[in-house]
Amino acid sequence: MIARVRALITHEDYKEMLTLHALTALSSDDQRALREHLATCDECGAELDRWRATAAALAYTATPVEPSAEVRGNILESARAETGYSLSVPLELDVRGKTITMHLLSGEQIETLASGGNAAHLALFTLTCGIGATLAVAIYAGGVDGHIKSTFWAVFWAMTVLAVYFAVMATRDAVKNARLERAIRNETGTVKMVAPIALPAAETDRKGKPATSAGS
Amino acid sequence: MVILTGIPRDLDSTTLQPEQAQVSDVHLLHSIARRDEQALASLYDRYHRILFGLLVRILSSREEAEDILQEVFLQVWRRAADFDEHRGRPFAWLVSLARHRAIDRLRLHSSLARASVRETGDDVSDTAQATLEQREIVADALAQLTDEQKQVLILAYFEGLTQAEIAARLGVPLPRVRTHMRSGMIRVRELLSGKVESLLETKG
Repeated sequence: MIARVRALITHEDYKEMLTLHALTALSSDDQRALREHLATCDECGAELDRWRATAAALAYTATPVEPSAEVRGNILESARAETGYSLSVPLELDVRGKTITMHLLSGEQIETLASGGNAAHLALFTLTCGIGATLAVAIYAGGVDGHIKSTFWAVFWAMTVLAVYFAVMATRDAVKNARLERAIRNETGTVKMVAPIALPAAETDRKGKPATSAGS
Repeated sequence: MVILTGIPRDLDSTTLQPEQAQVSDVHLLHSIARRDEQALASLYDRYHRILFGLLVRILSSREEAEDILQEVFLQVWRRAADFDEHRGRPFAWLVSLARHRAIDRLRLHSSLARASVRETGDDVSDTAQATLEQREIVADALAQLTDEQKQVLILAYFEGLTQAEIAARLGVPLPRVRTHMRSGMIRVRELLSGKVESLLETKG
């Protein structure tokens, strides 16, 4: 019912639904509507976290039971089998001086993102080379004289300096990518990578936090 | 939980003595995110009994509960890096993962007759004394609810019924079910917040 009149639901209504959501007692329509709201409302998100904590405490009313002994071994074995190039690699990224650990789903994803930085530097290198070459041709072949000629020279040298800078950056990126890829393929674990690129966290919903993606 | 997770996180682990209480749950999850299998094993050792008890209570089947327990810890293995300590305790996350999976499974099989015999555990010995204390506190809190509040909470929490299903089951109007659930949860939160801070905190 609520889904049909979604447009009329206010923030306060959603807030009231949070308790029921923490108890998984909402219908799937209501749940869907609430999730859409949660994606945009931090206040409700924080409130839901508090209700989840209360709901978690209710778990203590169940009598603890010992599972079969092999469950522990099965979990650890499966975990070990999953660790590898194809599934997930934790990365420590230095973003504006702050180290954050991110989890990526696949090596391909990392390669795509890392080569993005490289491609940008290569593009800038090509651009500066192009401008510089055009200016050089204009100076030697065309009839530029006086002030304009000295300005052209100044810009030409600026482009040359920038081109060298971008070439160095592109080379550095390529080396870094190669090292990253090698580390991933060899499964050497944590890779330290310094890159000002925003990496998407894998398989997440509200702000990439796991609590809400528990199927809630 | 109070003992296991109430450790200030700025304390160096080497300054704390007992083996089990040394590392906070949050610290364990950080290690798991770095692919530390031993940390996964430690987290399992800490919470498998309470989680398995919860799953058995919801699913009424040891076999299915074991399935879900494995799925939960594998999900922890895959997703530990996504865990945000500012949004709640690791235990709340574990319970949330376990309940959602169990209730999804329950709803999947809802057309099948549910087992009438509910299995329960008989030994309550070896889990830390802390758990026993938590259980008493939470049980006391539940005992202070009205019968209606208790009934709707239990039907939702352990049987995975939606508010509409609960209304149908009890033959009471939907708004009343909703009111009882909300007032019940508010009461539980009030009763627990004075006693078990670390259980309800969402920060740190």
